[in-house]
Amino acid sequence: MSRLIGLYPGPWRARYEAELRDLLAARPPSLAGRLDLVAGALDAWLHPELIVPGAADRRPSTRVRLAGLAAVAGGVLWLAMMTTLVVVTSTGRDADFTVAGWVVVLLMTVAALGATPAERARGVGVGILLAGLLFGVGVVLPWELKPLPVVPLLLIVFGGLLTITTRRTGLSRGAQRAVVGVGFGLPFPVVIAALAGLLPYLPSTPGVLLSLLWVYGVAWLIVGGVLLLGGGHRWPTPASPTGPTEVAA
Amino acid sequence: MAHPRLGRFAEPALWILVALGRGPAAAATLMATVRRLDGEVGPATLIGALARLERSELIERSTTDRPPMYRLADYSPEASS
Repeated sequence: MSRLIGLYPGPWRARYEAELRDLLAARPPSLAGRLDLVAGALDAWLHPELIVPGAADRRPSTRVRLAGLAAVAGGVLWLAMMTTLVVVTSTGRDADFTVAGWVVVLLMTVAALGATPAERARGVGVGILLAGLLFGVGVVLPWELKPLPVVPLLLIVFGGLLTITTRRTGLSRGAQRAVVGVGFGLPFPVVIAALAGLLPYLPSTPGVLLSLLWVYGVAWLIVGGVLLLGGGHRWPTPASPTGPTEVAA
Repeated sequence: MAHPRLGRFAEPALWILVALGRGPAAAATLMATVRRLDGEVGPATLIGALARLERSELIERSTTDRPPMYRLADYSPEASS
């Protein structure tokens, strides 16, 4: 149940979490009650003005909206790539995803840079550039040497970009860990293990294994959606538990 | 002040106002009353309705009571116009 409460924005939790927990303790929720909690979290994200006066007037900056758009586009393209990969694999054919892969990395880089606060953007940009250069060096290496630099850099690039972008969403720490953990920490080790020979070589693995990679795209869709809704931009930190009409009893 | 649209929260909000007509109450008491008057209602829906009523300045939430108590706000024609 704590995980569902973690879906709510920080200021909302600061104000209502204790009451919500009391209600849930008095009567553990049914499936409908759990769906009500999820719908309530969505409602809370869509209506920050209920908790934070003036929040309705705060629109996400163009920079954050672009980051959200790039994250959603990257997620959609990733899902399309993985779907194509599963289909191609099932028919025994081969396909080249080099261009699509670089476009995905580019979109996710734009999302990470756009989501990063301006004062830290330069450092993050340099880090991404270095990783990209090393990745480029890895790409031109002979095939048998590729896994040495490419695999760790894949982890750094894909995991790092998702982590950086997720930090700007304003989701709770637990929700951020869940998005990055399930979206990246689950599927990529499986793929790396497949590349290392611990699992059948990736293109010949069953669709079920490949479909694990979909969750990475779904994670980007969630992160992008939250950024487009305003994310942390409309929710000031530190959390303010003071509401619009609170009075001393 | 712009009043938030009640939408799907309108019905529980109405029953909350009816319940608070009897006097201040905590969320748990309001939940029991709304369920008795209107049937099943989710905890998040109840909190959402309370937040909207509070934002509309129709009810007030105390800061000193634990759990917080809700009560009807003092009516003011100027504030509601």
